Parts: sequence; structure tokens; C-alpha cells
Amino acid sequence: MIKTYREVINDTLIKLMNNDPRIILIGEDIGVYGGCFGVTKGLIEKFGAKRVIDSPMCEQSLVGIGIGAAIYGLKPIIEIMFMDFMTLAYDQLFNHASIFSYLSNGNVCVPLVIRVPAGAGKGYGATHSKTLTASLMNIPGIKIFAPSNALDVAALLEEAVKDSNPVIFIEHKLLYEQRQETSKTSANEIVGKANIVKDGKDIVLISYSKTVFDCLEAANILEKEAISCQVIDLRYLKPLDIETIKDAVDKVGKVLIVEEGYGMCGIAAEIMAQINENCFYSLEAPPKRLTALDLPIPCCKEYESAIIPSVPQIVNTVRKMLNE
Amino acid sequence: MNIYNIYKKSLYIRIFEEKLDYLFKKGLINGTAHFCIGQEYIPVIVSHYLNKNDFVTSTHRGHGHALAKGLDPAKLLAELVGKQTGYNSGKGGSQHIISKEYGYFANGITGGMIPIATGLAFAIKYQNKNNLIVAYLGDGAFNEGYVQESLNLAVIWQLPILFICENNQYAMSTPYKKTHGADIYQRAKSIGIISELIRDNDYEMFDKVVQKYINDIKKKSKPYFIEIQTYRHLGHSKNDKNLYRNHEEEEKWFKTDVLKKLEKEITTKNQCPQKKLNQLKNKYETEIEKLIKGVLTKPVNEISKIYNHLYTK
Repeated sequence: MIKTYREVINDTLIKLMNNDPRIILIGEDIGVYGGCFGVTKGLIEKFGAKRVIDSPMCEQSLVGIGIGAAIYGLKPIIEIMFMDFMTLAYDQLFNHASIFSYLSNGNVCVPLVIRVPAGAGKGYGATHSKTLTASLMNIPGIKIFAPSNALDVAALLEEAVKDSNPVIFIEHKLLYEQRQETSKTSANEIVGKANIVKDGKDIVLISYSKTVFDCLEAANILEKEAISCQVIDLRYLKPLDIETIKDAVDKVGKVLIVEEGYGMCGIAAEIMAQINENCFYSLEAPPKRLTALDLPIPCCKEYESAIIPSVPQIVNTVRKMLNE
Repeated sequence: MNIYNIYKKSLYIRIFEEKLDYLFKKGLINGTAHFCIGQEYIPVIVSHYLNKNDFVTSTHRGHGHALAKGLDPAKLLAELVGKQTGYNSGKGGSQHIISKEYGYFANGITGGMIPIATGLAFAIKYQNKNNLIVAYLGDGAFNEGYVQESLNLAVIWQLPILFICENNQYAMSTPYKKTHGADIYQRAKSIGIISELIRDNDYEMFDKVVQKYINDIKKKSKPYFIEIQTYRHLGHSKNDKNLYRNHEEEEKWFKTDVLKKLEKEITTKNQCPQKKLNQLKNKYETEIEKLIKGVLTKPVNEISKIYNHLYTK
């Protein structure tokens, strides 16, 4: 059956909530409005206002509420409307959610899921467009999932809800409308593993979330020039599946990392460091990265699209890397 | 609550904290600690009305809250000196004591536990449980944004939570009057929460109000707020030289110290002769010294286990 990414999340939430009365949803405008991006549409009608809770605007307390409720028997799924708003809740993530299991020797766990849409491309400007995944990867004790497609999103959401730890679940605004055949997938096949979405022998393109599709599009263009790209969808940012990356580098030798987050201390920077540490001598060329420019994200189209890595940029970078 | 019991339990906390000084001087505690000397009676009275399954969230100044809630002094000491037998095997230290068994959670971020306390209260109500939660905070923490947010959530969702603001007059070194545009209890009231101010360590009034509010919460899920004006006789933390307070003020509060008052009451109003109280002090001192000696021989953590429990499986 063909469904959108948004519909699959909605279906999965229904399935999970039907099976587990401990699951509650809390967020701003997730009730009758259906969430800013319509992901929770119809859920308040199905499960009532007791389980689908429209909250005041107070992101940091919402995450705190989620932590407290998770400690005492519930399985809260908190929706933070935009990833930019996550910054308001950083204290609760850095200093609270992430430390309970470690300090209590596993006696107190926090099975909390925070769903959050990231990314630019909608012209929402500097406070509604950022991708801040890398900053969250700096929190020991947190997990980060970022499914790039409708097929993975159901499995990863189920896995996130089953997890006993705080999971930040990153969606992308431009993925919500993406349509895909969703009939078969199993969480068991993918738990913790990055996905090789396309095999290739000349260069590895490593990415996650929406930019995976940019990499695939670039790979298709390059295919016509007889350049064969392998494309890896990380899916899990924390813990990071370095094994799959290492295997790919060992096999292919050239790497380009593409992400929508900022370059400074970003995911690409981290992966490059881990490649250096783990498989430096397999490299046939210096690894390269394409990231957001180190700028606030402006509204106007020309600037917005110039700040985020694009398909032509990926294509050109790969050509250059292979000609060097 | 019977004043002799308030005295006894407060005295234990005071001696416990005084003895920590020895551990610091010997360099046996790694890091810092924030003492509650002068404020001990507050958690003693509160915990008198709590059950084991009621939750308490605490602050950086939490030793008294923990002992009053019933936590084992030996395990608390072990935590402070970084031993494997501590509540969090020494990983938490003074400010981050977690005991699932006693429903006790403390954290060093001022006000940081308040949203979590509100979440615990949410879970109590959602699951129709009959316990409740007491969330301690200080006058400094009240100015944190999410404290205001959480009070609001507790009101709109009518949660079974008692907030107790120990206003000891100073947020670290900054006096209360410089940091609050209106009285704390008034600010809480303006959010819609039933709120009471208890002045100048009035433990009798505090006892009455705590008892009433806890009974009310048990009858009907609802948030309450108490601001209790108190004073810490020592500095903010162990390194504080108290340069921001004047001697007169310290003297005034020291003279009205609750333990002193109680001692006077107990000895003059017949309950117990001074001699017996002195015996009690000696008993606690010996007990705690013995605990300290015992704790020092306990094993420390193995480096090979440093990654254990980062995630729960």
C-alpha cells in the first residue's frame, strides 16, 4: 500500500497506542489541530484528550513532564514543534533525561520519545528551519533515530517506543509528503544498523534523513557518467553504526558526507574523525563533507537553498573528488 | 508533629552534616557539598506526613531531604565519599542522589527537578495512584523559567504536588530582595496555585500548613505551594566565606535557630532533661563517626565498569 511518511507515523502511533495504554502524547496543538504538520491528526478523536494532550507552550517543562511520567510507569511521546525549539529544552536533556540510568545504575530508566521535525526548505526562516542533530549527539545517555523514509519510519518509531531510554526521533519537514510502498518491513532487520540504500564502487555518500534522497538523486545523475556511488543512510545517529561506515570505506576508499546540519563540530566532522581512527589506511582520497553553511537560515529562497547542500553540489563534489 | 521528634531528627541531620566537615578537611570527599544547617526541621516535618511510596524531589542542598525521607545514612555517606556502596555507587555525589526505593530524586540544576516532579505528579494522577509528591526548591530556583511553567502545568492539570520553597534569603550570594519583584508566595498565587507564606522559621505554623495541604492533596488531587522563610547558618557551599552577609543578620538568625528553640522548649516544658539531650547528641556523634569509619573501608568503583548503565537494556 502506498502511503506518505506522515500517514505512516500516524498509523504507527495508532497501532502503538492501541497495544499499550501507557503511551500518551503531549505537545503543542497536537489535538484537534492535529499537530503543526498534521502528524497527529485524528488521534484525539480516537484516544481522547486524556491520552492526546494539548499543552501550553513550554518546551522545557514538557520534556521534564515527559521524564517524570516516564520514570513512573508511562510511555510519553512528546512532540516538539520545530527542532529549533528543542534548544529551550536542552537542560532537561543534557542534565536530566540522560543521567538517570547511569547514575542510578539502571534502577531508574526514562522511556521517553521526543518527536521533532527538523530541516529547511520551507522558507520558515532562522528560527524554524535548523537541523541541530549534532548538538544532541553530544549528550551521553540519549539515543537519536532519524528515519529517512516511510518504510523505516514505522519500524524505528516502534523501536523508539519500546526502548527504555530517552530517544530523540527526528523527522524532516520535507519528508512528510513523501510517498512509498509500505507493505513489508521488520524492525528486527534494521535495529541499530545503517542502511546501504544503494551499492556502488567508486565513492560512498554518507547521509541521513532528507539528504539521503539528494544523495540518491545525485547518484542517479552520476550513474549516467559511469560513476558508481554507494549511498548509506545512517538512520541511527546515536549510537552511531561505525561498523557499516568502516566496511564501506574499506571497500570503496572514497567518502563524501552530506548533512543539513552545520559543519562546525557536525556529524560529518565526527564521522571523519572516526574514519581516521578506524580505517585511515583504506582511504584513497581525503574525505569531504557538504553541510549547511555556518549562517542563520534566511527566509528568501535564493539564500535558503544556497545554505543547504543541494543535488548539483553533491554531483560536482563527487566529480571533483574522482578527478583529483 | 511531636516537638521531641522534630528535635531528634533535625539533630541527627545537623550532626551528620557537621561530621562531613571532617571528611572534607581530610580530603575524603571529592567535590563540594551544600549544607542545610539551620533548615533541617523543614524536611523532618514534611516527611512525617509522607509515606515511603510518596515521591520527593530535591535540590543541590539535599542531605536533609534525603535523611528525612528515610534514606540510609550509611549509603548516603558512601555516596558522598564515592564508594561503590553509595546510592549511586558514588557517581552521583552530594547533589545527585537517586533512590528508586524511597522515591527520592535530586539534581544539581536549580529548579531542574521541578518539571520532572510535575511529571511524576502527572503520572500519579493519570494512573489513579494514591501517593503524592513533594518538590523542594529554593528562592533562587523560583526565578528559573521552567519553575513558573511547571507551576502553571500543575494548576491546569490539577496535579497532586506540594511545592516547598525554602527561602533561605540568598541565591548563592545574591540577596532575595535584589532578585524578586514580588514575594515568592504571591508570585505562585498569581499563577493560580494555593499558596502560603510561613515567616521566620515558624515551625509550628509550618507543621500545621504542611499537614493540612498534604491531607487536602490526598483527598483531592490539587497543587499547593508553601514559602518558608529560613536561613542557612553556613555558606552556600563548603568554599563560601560568607562575605555578602553581615554578622548582625547571621546572629539574629542564629539566635532563633529552630534546634535551639526546640531544645529550650523540650527542657523547660518537662519533656526531657538537658542531660538526656546531651546523651542523645553523644549517641548520634558516636553513631555517625562509626558510620564514617565503616564507609571509608568500602570498595571504590572499578574503572572497567565506567560505561555500565549509560543505557538501560
